[in-house]
Amino acid sequence: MNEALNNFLAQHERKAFRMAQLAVGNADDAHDIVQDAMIKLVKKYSSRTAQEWPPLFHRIMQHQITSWYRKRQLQQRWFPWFKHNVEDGEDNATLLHIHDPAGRSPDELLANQQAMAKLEQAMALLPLRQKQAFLCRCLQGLTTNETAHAMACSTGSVKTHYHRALTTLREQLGEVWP
Amino acid sequence: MTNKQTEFESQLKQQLNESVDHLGASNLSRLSQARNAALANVNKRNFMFPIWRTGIAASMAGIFMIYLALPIGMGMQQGLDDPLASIALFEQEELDLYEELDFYEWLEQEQQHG
Repeated sequence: MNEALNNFLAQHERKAFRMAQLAVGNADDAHDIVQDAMIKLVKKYSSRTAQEWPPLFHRIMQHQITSWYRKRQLQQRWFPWFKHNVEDGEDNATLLHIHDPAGRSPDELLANQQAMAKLEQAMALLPLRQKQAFLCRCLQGLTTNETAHAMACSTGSVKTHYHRALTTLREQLGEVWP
Repeated sequence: MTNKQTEFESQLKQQLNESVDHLGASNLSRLSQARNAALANVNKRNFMFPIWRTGIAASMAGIFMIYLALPIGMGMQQGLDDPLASIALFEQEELDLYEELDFYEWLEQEQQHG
C-alpha cells in the first residue's frame, strides 16, 4: 500500500506543484497546497484502489486551490495591510545554470524563460475557473470529462472556460507564439 | 478548432511540460519531504477521532448536567425520594375508617329512628 501510494504521489507531485504554483503565483503556498492535498488523499482515500487515486487527487488539488483563493479574498477584505507571498524568481534564475538535456544554448534557454514569464503574466490575468480549466487540460493532460470531475462542474462549463482561456492567452501571447 | 489554435495549444503544452522538468533542486526536495510527511499518515488515520464527534459528546453531557441541575429535575428527584409515602398515608386513612365503622353504623341507625 505504502509503496503504491509513494509511486503514485512521486509520479504526480511535480505537475501538481507546477499547477498550484501557476494558479496561486508563488512557490511557498503551492508547496502547502500540494502537501495538504497529499495528506488528504492518504488519510481519506488510501484504502481505495490505485485506479481511483488520480481523479480523487486532481479533485482535491482543485478544491485546495479554490480554498486558497477564498482565504486570500477574505484576508484582502478584512486585513488589507497583510502582504502576500510574492514569487522571487529564484527558481527561474537557476534555470540558466543547469545543463539543458535538449542541448540548447544559453540564449535559447533565456528566450524560453522569458516566454514562460510572459505566459505566467498572461495566466495571472485569467479568472480562477478559466485558469483551472486551462491547467487541467494543458498541464495535467486531463480530458474534458476528467477536468469536469476535478472542477466539480459540467463538461459544457469546462469547454467554455477552456476556450475563453485559450482565446485570451492567444491575444496576450501572439508575439511569443504567433 | 483551427490549425493555428491547435498549434498554439500544443506550444503552450510543450512550454508547460518543460517548466515541470526544470523545477529546481529545492522544490524537488520540498516535494519529497511533503510526500514522506503525507505517507506517515497512512497508519494514523484509523486512530483519529473527529473533533466534531467530541464536541457533540461534550455538548450532550453538558445539557444532561444542566437538566439535572434545574428545579424540574430536582422536583422529580424529591418526588421519587420516598415513593411509598403517599401509599402509606392512604393506607392510614383506610384503617381509621375501619376502626370507626361501628360509630358510623350507630349514627345511621339514629338518623333512621329519629
